[in-house]
Amino acid sequence: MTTLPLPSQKQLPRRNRKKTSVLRSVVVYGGVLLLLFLVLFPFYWMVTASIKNFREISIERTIIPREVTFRNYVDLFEQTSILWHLFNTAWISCFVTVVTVILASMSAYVLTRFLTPTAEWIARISLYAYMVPSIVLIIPFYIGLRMAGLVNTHAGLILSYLSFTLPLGIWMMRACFQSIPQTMEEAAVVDGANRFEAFFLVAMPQALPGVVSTAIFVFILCWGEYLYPVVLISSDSLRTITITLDALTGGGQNIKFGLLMAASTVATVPILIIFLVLQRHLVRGFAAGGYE
Amino acid sequence: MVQVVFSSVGKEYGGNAVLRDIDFEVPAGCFVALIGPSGCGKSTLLRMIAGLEHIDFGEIYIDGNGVNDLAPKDRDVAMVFQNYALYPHMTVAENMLFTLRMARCSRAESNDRMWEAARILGLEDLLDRYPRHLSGGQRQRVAMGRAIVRNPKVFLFDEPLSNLDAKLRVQMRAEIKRLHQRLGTTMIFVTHDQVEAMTMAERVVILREGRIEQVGSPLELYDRPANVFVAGFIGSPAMNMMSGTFERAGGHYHFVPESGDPISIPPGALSGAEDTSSGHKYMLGIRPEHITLPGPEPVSGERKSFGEISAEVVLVEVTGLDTHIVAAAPNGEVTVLIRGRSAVAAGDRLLFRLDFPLAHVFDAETGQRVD
Repeated sequence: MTTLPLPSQKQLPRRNRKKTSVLRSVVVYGGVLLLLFLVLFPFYWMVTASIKNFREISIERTIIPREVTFRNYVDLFEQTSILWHLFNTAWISCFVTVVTVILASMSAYVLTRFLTPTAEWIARISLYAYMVPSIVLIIPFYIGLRMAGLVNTHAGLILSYLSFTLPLGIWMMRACFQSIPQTMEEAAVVDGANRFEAFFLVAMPQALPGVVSTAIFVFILCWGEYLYPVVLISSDSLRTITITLDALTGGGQNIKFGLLMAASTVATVPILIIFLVLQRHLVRGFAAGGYE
Repeated sequence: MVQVVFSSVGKEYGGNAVLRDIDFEVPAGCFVALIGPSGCGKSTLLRMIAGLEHIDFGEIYIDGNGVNDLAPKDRDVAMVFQNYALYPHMTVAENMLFTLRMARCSRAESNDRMWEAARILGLEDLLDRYPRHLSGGQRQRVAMGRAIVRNPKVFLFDEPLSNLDAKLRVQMRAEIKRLHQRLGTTMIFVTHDQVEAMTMAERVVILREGRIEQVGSPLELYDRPANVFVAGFIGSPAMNMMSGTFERAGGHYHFVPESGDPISIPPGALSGAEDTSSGHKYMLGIRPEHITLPGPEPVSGERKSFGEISAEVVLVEVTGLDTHIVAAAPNGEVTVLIRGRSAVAAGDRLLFRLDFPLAHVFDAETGQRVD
């Protein structure tokens, strides 16, 4: 039995080829637009809702605000302690990020350069630790922190955050150090540096894209963490931004949409700025770590 | 100038010995090449001198002092790596100043030494550039600059020319040699390229499977290889080898190959150490340039002269300077090197005359040189 060869793209008549090309463009761009819509529309809704009045949000449900008002922001800053909670979130997130980056970099360096036979296992165990859901750990954490007198303190919250940021940081930094040739540190050692100098002066500058990626990830994780603060923090003055947002939902009974959207916008802006400023490093960090 | 001594040095990885009984001396101010096939342990040995690998057995002495327990920074050696290992986030000047910074040198002295090194290597115009903006040859020079700036007791080079193209390699070879003549410092150079070792080094150490096969000057290794491995490793095209026995018949000696006609040996060409009575097997080695072409193959029944074999030319390679002729003889392929041009063509049946006084005889069982 003979089979007729299928016409290849080149063999198709010119008109058919053009049609296929247009169809392909429509499918590709249509898909991209749909994805963009799915990602961006919630942001658009959040920002526009924050500058609408109650009527436009809840009754008319306009897509484009007819009347722009900043009343929600004024009420937000007057009626809630959001600025204080933002400050709490910012300093805790910064502190945890700095501690994570320092400890994770040093641990990952050791795991890639010294303990080769067992390093793989230690690194895997650290990743498994990250994969354990927070809800599973929250009760043991609460009991442990209560015994240490750290419940309802920022110190307790920081410790709980480190329990998931450190494994993630170690895993990311390990991938980063694995991509950096060891010979440069060896050259530094022969040039008269000790191990710490080789680490800080030679390995770390090269790991900078990885450090930035890790820092951004950890910062975002801390900024948006909800479970630990809601369980461990009870005083209003110690709250973080996620608890403020939760409070504005009124337990689902009396949702103040205007305030909530304004608060959400305020909570998102710092992350957005950080991301926009550092996104170049983030992409480089992904590439360097080989986990794009 | 400083002497480096290796005393029964050994190294193991996971129970496997990668270096065994390494015993040799690098005389003060000498340029020594460590050469051998991939995996022979030459780079490991260099890294052991630098302190980057632990010395499992024996002792290494630099300037008379045992360095086994010294950290790399305390050994006062400088190393040029195969991939240069320049610090990518530092400029050329910062790369060269790094080692002086680690040695806590004053700024003025550091700058003086950096400029001196830059002047020697012609790097003055590149000092504010980053390594990524340099060509391969420039990076190589920066790596050497980083080594010479600290004025070390010993220079270590780990295949520094292997990443360069052929032309640049020849240029850098000469540059390193000039540097050695100028500084007079002891240099140990690892390479797998015999031409580099032969042209640059004053002494060559040949390693195979973690053991030293021979130590000597380049010409000693070429003219009197200690064993079959060295004979085959040094020289390009490689030495021709054939196995067989020595026999005495008709008033003179013959070399009787495993296949093919006996080759008559001219009187006085054997050293006398060969066993010609018991059929003991030997390897006869002859360098391609020690074979001449006396003429066409004789007609059947005509006697061949001393050292002559007949073979059919299968390949002719012309390099411009000389011609390599590969011929199929009954006892295997024979490579001949003719200076200049040759009218020989593939398919020609010719006589090949082995220059017996320049032949090398090895024991077939042990591989060691007989005379």
